[in-house]
Amino acid sequence: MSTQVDILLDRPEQPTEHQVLNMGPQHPSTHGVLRLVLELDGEVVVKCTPVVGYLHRAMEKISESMTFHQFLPYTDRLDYLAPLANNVALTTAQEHLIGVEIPPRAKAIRVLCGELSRISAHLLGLGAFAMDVGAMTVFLWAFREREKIYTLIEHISGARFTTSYTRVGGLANDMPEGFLQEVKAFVDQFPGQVKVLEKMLSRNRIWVDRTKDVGLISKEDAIGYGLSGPNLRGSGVEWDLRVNRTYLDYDKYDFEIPVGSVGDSYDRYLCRIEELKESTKILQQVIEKMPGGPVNVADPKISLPEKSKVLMGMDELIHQFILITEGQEAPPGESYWAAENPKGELGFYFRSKGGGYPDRMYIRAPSFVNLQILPKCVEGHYISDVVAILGSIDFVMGECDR
Amino acid sequence: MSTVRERLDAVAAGFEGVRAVDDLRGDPAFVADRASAKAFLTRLRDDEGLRFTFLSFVTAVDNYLDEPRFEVTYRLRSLEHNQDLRVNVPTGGEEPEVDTVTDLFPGANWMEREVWDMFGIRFAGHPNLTRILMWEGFEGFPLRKDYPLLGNTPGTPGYVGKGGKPAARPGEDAS
Repeated sequence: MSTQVDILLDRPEQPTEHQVLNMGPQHPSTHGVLRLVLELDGEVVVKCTPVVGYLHRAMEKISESMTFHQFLPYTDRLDYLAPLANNVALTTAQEHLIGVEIPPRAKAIRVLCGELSRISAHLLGLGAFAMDVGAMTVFLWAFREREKIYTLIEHISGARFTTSYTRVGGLANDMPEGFLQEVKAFVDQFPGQVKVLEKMLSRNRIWVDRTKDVGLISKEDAIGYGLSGPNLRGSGVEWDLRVNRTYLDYDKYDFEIPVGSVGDSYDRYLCRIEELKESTKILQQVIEKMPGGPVNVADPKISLPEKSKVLMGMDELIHQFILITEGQEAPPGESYWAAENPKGELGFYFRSKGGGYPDRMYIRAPSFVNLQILPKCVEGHYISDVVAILGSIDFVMGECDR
Repeated sequence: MSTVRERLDAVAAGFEGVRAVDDLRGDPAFVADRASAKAFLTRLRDDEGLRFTFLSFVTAVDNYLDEPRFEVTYRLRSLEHNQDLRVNVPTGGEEPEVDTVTDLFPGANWMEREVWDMFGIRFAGHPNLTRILMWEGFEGFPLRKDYPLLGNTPGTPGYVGKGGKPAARPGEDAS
């Protein structure tokens, strides 16, 4: 096969040798410390080998020596674009193991947290995707919206980034006064911003050329490789844990699952844009239907007592002491529970021998599973398309490497 | 829902090495020995009334000091019937080994590599069973219960040699 250089220089055909190119681990468009070993024929990728593990922090090993609450801050560092959603996923999975049903108000606030995180994560995903393809403006405009969400998150949890907001049996604290109005102000103006983003991209000639029919994933491959989230739905599989495995009263809210038709990068982009709108719809309904009542279960063996009572009462002091030192008592057995996170199915598998510590905890990280399809996607494409496909798969290495 | 359950029980009864076990939260759960595990998983995937085509994850559990020591856990999902199930395959001995399922579910590739990396369980027939999260040349299997949680292991970054001195790097004098 003659290379382009051969043709240009009018040289006789020479046996081509594949060139190996290292992309990453410190490459701005690999979204974290991912290394790709690309075997190239000219500019075309023949083989791609992802190398992961640069951010491995042995979270699963650490979790085995911690009570359920103690592990919570580590989830902020899993998918660090949506820490609140990770908090919700971990705590709900722990409650599934222990067997706790939380009050309706806590559920509604958790939905609020999850959907705010989804908007925030998708905005960054889209912005970074667009920037990799050359549209810098989208990235900056998406970040302007994310900044508003960060302000909201700071008001509810006290931290912009490392939230650790949920607790087994409820939440760390109720919403501050006037918080719903703040969310409402954001939600009211957000659809207009999504429209602006869509206007920038959806019919943009460069964008369409770079994403349409690039990185095709067939329906069978998407299921076989265990993809989840917008990557699975982009390939035309109608599967969303929020609907198919209703949790946290998601069935009370009226929303739709966007599904792609072809399974290319453009479909995945469209899915994310539609999910932004659907999340906004859910947020509006949460604000309207927000139930009253407590945000923690009344069981003193599950929820931490109020601090003012701990300082004055003997019972509360004992409960606080036991919960902090020994943790919530979990029954022996195995359980798995997964949430529909921005990146896909984030699940926690617990093997408990009783007591407050899991004997084994496995984190089913969507980014790790989704990334596996990459070699299949990029083969036969140009190097410049590798970046576009990476952006469309939208993964976070903190979650992938755990 | 119940029809899938009935079908599952009927299919499981056809395998000698497979038995149903109770699950804490009511999901269907099975324990299969190595000889029948692969055939059972194939049947779960291909059976018209089941179609468990989605492999959610593969992982392992270390029951240290018990025999068989390890359990490899598969979690399958039927998207058509909206049903999950779990299959545990016990394995033990000096060199624990089970059969790969990468030919059934291509997504199992990295998950099995992770189990090998973390627990040292081999998957017979795996196309590329190498370490994935740790680096090549790393010794030990970190998620085994007898691997220390804390400590100063030679060969890991940040290792401090005797007397608090940083360990000599390859090619340097260890004075």
